[in-house]
Amino acid sequence: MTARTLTAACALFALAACSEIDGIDPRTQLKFDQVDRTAIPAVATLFVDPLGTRSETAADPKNRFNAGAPLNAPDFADDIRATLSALRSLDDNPANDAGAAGDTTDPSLPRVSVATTTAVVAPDVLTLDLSGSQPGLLGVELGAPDAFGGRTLAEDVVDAALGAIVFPGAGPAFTSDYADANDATFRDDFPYVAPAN
Amino acid sequence: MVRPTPRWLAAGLLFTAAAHAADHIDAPFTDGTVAGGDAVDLVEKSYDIADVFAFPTNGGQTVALVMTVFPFADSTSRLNPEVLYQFKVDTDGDRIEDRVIQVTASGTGSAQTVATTGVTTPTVLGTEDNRLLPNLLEGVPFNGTAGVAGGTRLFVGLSDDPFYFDLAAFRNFVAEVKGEPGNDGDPDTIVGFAPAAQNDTLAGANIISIVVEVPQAELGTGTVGVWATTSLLDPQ
Repeated sequence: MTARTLTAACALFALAACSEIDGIDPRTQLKFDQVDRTAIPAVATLFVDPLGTRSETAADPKNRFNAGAPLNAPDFADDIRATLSALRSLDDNPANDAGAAGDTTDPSLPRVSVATTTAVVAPDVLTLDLSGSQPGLLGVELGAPDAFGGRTLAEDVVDAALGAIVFPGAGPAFTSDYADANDATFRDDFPYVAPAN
Repeated sequence: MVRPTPRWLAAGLLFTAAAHAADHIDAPFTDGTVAGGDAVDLVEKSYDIADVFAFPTNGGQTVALVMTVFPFADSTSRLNPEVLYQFKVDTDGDRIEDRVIQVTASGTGSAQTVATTGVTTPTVLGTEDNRLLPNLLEGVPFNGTAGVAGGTRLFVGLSDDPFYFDLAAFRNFVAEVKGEPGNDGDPDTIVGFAPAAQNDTLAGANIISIVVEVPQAELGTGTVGVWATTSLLDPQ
């Protein structure tokens, strides 16, 4: 048995006894390799390699994305830009097409260009403004008043993502799946999630 | 190679998304070819992150961070003791974590307990990770809570899946994009998700929620970035 194997075995099965050996908790010697990451919904699922063949290999783009970090955003920007461009061609709104700079003539419709959207979503990070008090997906990026950003349990994230990322400025048929609320009631206090069904 | 037209490209990617219902049943290293909740084996589901949430609590004194894993979990589902569950926080905008919160499990089945470091400073950056000790809270039963309001609190347990989504409406959209009539009976007009109807495909589904509430000041000040990761023990 190698020292490494012993360390791993100690960590998993005999914590107290092993920690006496050298004064170092053997659990701190273990190594872990990242396999999944998530922040903004749908970035990995929808935007990275949408037509690729999902596979069990580490070379698969989605697996590379999931094993990557926000710092790897440039590696996936082309895929995300292509996917967004294709999706935005569907609503017959030229303001949403690839290359459109974004239409700011109507402030109630925050249209954002494909390039800008790609830059925002490619790192796949939830942005929090700790000085704000109003939580909600992409709130900080969209400049919402007193935005905290992040994401709440109750918010309609599919609609938020469709409206802010995929089809900004399009009609409700493109920006809502019409499922507007969860089936269960969230707790008001910790741990906030709804009890199991 | 003939480049696909945008409309067909969109059809393909929408189909992919619909088949996998957002980030559910989307574990790494799986081909995802089998429909339904049994597409991914139980080990893979244990490190499959479905959703991440972050919101202020206790009047802004604390922030709740929620990561859901193990889509379509049941009462026997547990965390994987060989997986490191983390929230990573970038406090200076360089897209590299400056603070992390680690959650780990010990034991299996009804004997499983969970632990968290609370907000701490990583000693290794990037996608190869190590365990940071000591734990701030440990020996917490699965489905139990620990900690006090205003400080660091931990819950890991079975909950309702907070995600909601109309998979049927999404599939209608896909059909329309592919040139089929869809719900409006008109192959030439894409009506998106119309007609309006409330259908939560994930109604009644359970999932494992990892909820860590931490003092806001420990996350930094101003604007920070948060993401969740799962990492597998390297057999070395």
